[in-house]
Amino acid sequence: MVIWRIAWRNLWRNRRRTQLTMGAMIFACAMLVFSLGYYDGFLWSLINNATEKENGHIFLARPGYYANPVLEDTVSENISAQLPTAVKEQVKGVCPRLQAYALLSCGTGQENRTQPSQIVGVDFQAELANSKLAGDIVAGSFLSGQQREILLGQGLARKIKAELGSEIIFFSNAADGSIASEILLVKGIFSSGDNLRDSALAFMNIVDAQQLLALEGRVHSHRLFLHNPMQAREVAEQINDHQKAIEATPWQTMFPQIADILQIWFAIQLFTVAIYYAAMALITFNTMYMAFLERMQEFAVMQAIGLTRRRLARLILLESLILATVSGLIGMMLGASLNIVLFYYPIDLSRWLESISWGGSSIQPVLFCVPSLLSNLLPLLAMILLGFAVAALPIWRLYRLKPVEALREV
Amino acid sequence: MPKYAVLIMLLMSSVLWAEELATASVSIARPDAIALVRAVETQYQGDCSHGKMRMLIKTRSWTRTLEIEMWSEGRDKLLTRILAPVKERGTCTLKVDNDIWNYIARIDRMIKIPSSLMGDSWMGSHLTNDDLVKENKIDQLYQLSIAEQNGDIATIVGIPFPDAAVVWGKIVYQIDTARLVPILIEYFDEEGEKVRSMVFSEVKQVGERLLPMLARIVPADKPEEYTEMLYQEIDFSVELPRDLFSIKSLRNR
Amino acid sequence: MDTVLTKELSRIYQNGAAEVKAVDSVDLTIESGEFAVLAGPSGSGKSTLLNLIGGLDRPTAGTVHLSGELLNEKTDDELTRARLFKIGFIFQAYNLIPVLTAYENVQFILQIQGIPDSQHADRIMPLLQELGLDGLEHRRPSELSGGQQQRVAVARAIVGRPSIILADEPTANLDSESAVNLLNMMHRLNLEQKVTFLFSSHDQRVIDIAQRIISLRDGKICDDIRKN
Ligand SMILES: Nc1ncnc2c1ncn2[C@@H]1O[C@H](COP(=O)(O)OP(=O)(O)OP(=O)(O)O)[C@@H](O)[C@H]1O
Ligand SMILES: [Mg+2]
Repeated sequence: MVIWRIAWRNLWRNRRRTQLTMGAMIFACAMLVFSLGYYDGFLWSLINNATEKENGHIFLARPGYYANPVLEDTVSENISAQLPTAVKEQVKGVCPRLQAYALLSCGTGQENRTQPSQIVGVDFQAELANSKLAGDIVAGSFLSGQQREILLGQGLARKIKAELGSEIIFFSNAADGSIASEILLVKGIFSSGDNLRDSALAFMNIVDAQQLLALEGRVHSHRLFLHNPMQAREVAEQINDHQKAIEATPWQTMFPQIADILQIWFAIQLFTVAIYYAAMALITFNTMYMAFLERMQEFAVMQAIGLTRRRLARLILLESLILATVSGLIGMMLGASLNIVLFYYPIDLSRWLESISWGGSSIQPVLFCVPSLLSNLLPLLAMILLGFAVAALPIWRLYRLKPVEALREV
Repeated sequence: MPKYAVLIMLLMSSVLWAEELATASVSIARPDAIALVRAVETQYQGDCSHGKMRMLIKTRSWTRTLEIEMWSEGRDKLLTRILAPVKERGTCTLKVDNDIWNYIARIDRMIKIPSSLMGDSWMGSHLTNDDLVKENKIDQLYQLSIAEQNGDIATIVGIPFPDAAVVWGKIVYQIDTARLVPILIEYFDEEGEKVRSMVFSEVKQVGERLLPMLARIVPADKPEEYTEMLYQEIDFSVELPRDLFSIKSLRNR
Repeated sequence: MDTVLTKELSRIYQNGAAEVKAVDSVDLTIESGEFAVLAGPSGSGKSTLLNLIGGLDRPTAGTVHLSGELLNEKTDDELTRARLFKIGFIFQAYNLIPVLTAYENVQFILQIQGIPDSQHADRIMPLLQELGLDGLEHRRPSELSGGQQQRVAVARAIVGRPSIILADEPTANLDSESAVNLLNMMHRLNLEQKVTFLFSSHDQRVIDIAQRIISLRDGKICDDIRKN
């Protein structure tokens, strides 16, 4: 009891020093929580950027289609009947897609330009509800379900010299081998940040595509969007166990780089903690250690009047743990609040920074954090460990202290 | 070729062909590989033709038949027009020199096939656009030699010259030296892997010449698929209108 | 019974090659209820002897018995416990715990002795009153004068009911009036509560109050006078 009282009061003894020490620890802890939240946010957006435009969290298609897409390998456009009930609860949305290779051409006579392109038929309502596709439109607007609409990638539009409203000739082979041809009108032009992709990609309404390619009622893939993208692998396994006629590929398989990152993520987090921890330990350790050294004589007196070394050690530990825990809690709350704010209101830095494509995804210049229990508790734990570390040296000194010698220095 | 202009070959036969044949016949006793291949490869040269053929395309998932009418002039000009199925009737391909134009009748539009798409399939068949275009100076691009002579059947191997810009790593011909008709042509890639083969049959007398009426192309990686071209009519003694091989005429056909 | 008994007690410091016999074969007996002073010039070994008796230092040779227990054989922690229950210390520099109030400083001993809280006030308040500290119990050491601090230190030394109070120059930091005042209080406690005192001083006015004057010189007892 009295040990608690002494420890607590000692913290207020040199108010300025305690405030400075706590300030440093609070700042470090808050930064730690924030940066872990930021890393999580970074990872989260990496996953979402990789999955939300293209393949979704889980790619459902006929077995083998993901690895080797063939026009004829289709599945029914009605997917929900084929999913196990347990899986349905985890699914936020489904985007059916039809994919084909076609020549897109624009212009007449010698002005005619033809490019081979990837044509993706999409359900515009499903895409609006689930994917970020519509966000890439840089001119015109997204598909609206009207007949003969097409969206062109910016690079593709440039290559075939197409503009909004231009007539696009679609020329390909349908699934029955017949010639598929149609005149489409450019509804919008999109830019995803991936130039290679945008120079050979176009979107059209899935109904049009089905008709053109003689695939009525059929689609090539269903992209599932989950409430929690981290569950993709487990959900995919459930589907594969349940349904042999379709194959579920989780994003972890589609984007191994990102999955790999996730694997080492915990290590990176620990590493970050270690660096912050070391920096902060240096700062706080010094001040706290000096404060303890100044009081060695006080400790000697307490020992002289009957306080055992064990109890003295407890006192020192208590003091440094109170400081560390209180700072850690305050820092954690500050960092967590920052994370929560940035989760709901991310700051867009695209005015100053460019986005980067990487590993099948893109890194957007957005300050975005995802608060998580781990990113809050890890720094707090680090603080508490620091508390132990700071106490260790004075305690070690204490055990070697001869009270007579300390007392003589009066 | 590198790729062999099969379509055109099927329309072939000409005065020049006759000349080449004559040259080849002279050396039958001691067959000359170059003369033999040149005879087969250039049999249509300088010739005008008009014909009809049936193209049967069989793939893993579908089978269809196209009725095609075609005109040619020399090795540089070719026009094809689909007669059936009805849905695609009127769809034309025009080849002039190295350019290929497709006219799509259903939507009444024309597109130019860029050179980057020469390797693409022509109308869903196992022929490529390139097969229509390439000039066949085989003897200038490939070192030809007779590998085997088995009765009347000569096997000729073509290996590209070191600095030749070619697609194939090797071409193997089997030619009936008695009748001077091709039997089989096999195409290999740089690794020596067989890519596709072309088998000729139903040799018939056309005018003065013997011609195989049927050619079948089989891709080596999908042996169950093939494209068969059966020649139904052929006429080498036609006069073709001057502007036949022009963009304008496509729409009017 | 003897409260303190030393036999041939020696403490030799090694100062480089030179040996300093700070305490040199001292045989000393302090009996219960005594009020004794260690007198002697600076460097005569007073502090060293008190530290040996109080179990803060270990002898080079000889033995110390405290209420019949031999201190030499005890471990450091046992010595600490012995100091807690058997000895009250008063230091020259008062050495109160700065973050505790006067009352809490005294209470500190009872708390670490494990005396139930309910008894604390009954034991502390009369003592503070006796030492003239009423009304000051909630002040921190920094808010007390030197004399007041040293009286708190006396209370702290006594409250745990030790066998002996050891005080190394308890008045050295005090003006002479406070010094005599403090000594008188200690003497009264000695008389009324039979508390045994052994303190050191070289202040003659303080020495005069003592009942027994043990004079040290060069680590040896050169004189031992008992007044009646
Ligand atoms: N730690 C030490 N190392 C070496 N010598 C010491 C040590 N402590 C004391 N001494 C020596 O032992 C002798 C006795 O010292 P001590 O402090 O006991 O004297 P004292 O009587 O208390 O003197 P004062 O009245 O000045 O306090 C002195 O000569 C001192 O120099
Ligand atoms: Mg001294």
